[in-house]
Amino acid sequence: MKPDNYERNHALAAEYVVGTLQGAARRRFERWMMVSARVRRQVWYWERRLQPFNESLPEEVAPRAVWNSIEQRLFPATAPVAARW
Amino acid sequence: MAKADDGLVRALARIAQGDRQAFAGFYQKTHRAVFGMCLHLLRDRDEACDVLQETYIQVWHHAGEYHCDRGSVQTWMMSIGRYRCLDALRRRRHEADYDSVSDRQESNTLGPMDNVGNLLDRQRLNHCLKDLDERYRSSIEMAYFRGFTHQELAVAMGEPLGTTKSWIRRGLDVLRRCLDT
Repeated sequence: MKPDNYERNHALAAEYVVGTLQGAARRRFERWMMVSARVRRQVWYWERRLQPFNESLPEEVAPRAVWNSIEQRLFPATAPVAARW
Repeated sequence: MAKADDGLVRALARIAQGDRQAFAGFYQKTHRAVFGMCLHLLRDRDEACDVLQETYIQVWHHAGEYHCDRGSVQTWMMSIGRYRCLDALRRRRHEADYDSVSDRQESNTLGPMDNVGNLLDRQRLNHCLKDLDERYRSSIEMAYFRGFTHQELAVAMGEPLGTTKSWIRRGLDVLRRCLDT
């Protein structure tokens, strides 16, 4: 991967968000994101642009047990806070 | 900043300070969209529950890292969930089904968590997708909505691996040029 190749990094950022960048290439790209603010911004660009895809999916209420598990993991020794369903 | 997101940003700021009540409210307000996406990508309820749990554990620990350059709070949340779903798919090397992407809502109205900015983004993406070559659009959508690998795309579309790879690459390039105009 050429660190200074803006267009190439944009293409990689797009495939990272879409999910087709995989395996060793995905891990290399994640390391590159950690050191390059510009690459991170390119990923955020695609996340923002493709967010309407996520919004087009049907929403669904999760089983209450998921919230209970989250609370138990984060706050094991304290009283639960009820999420207001 | 749009009003709908403003409340979520305030909630995140309180979560970053350890406010459990704010966290519970935030979960209640946002989890349906994340869970719906997880169910759609993973097609396995138990796994979707696990990923949802991991997503909100991450939100609790990293709420203070959100900033508006990352997009709306929803975008940030959904991205956390999405990458966890992709990880889960890769781990199980999922049995891909090749249904068409049919249960999406082509909505042009505001939903409960939407703001006008979301609506404009949606209209722009829909507009650019309509102009995109059908093969490019299908391959991008199958990868995005099903988490298909290049290899799975090739099988699903009955094309050589190199062909579907280049459709995705070329399609995203054309899409970006349209989105930027």
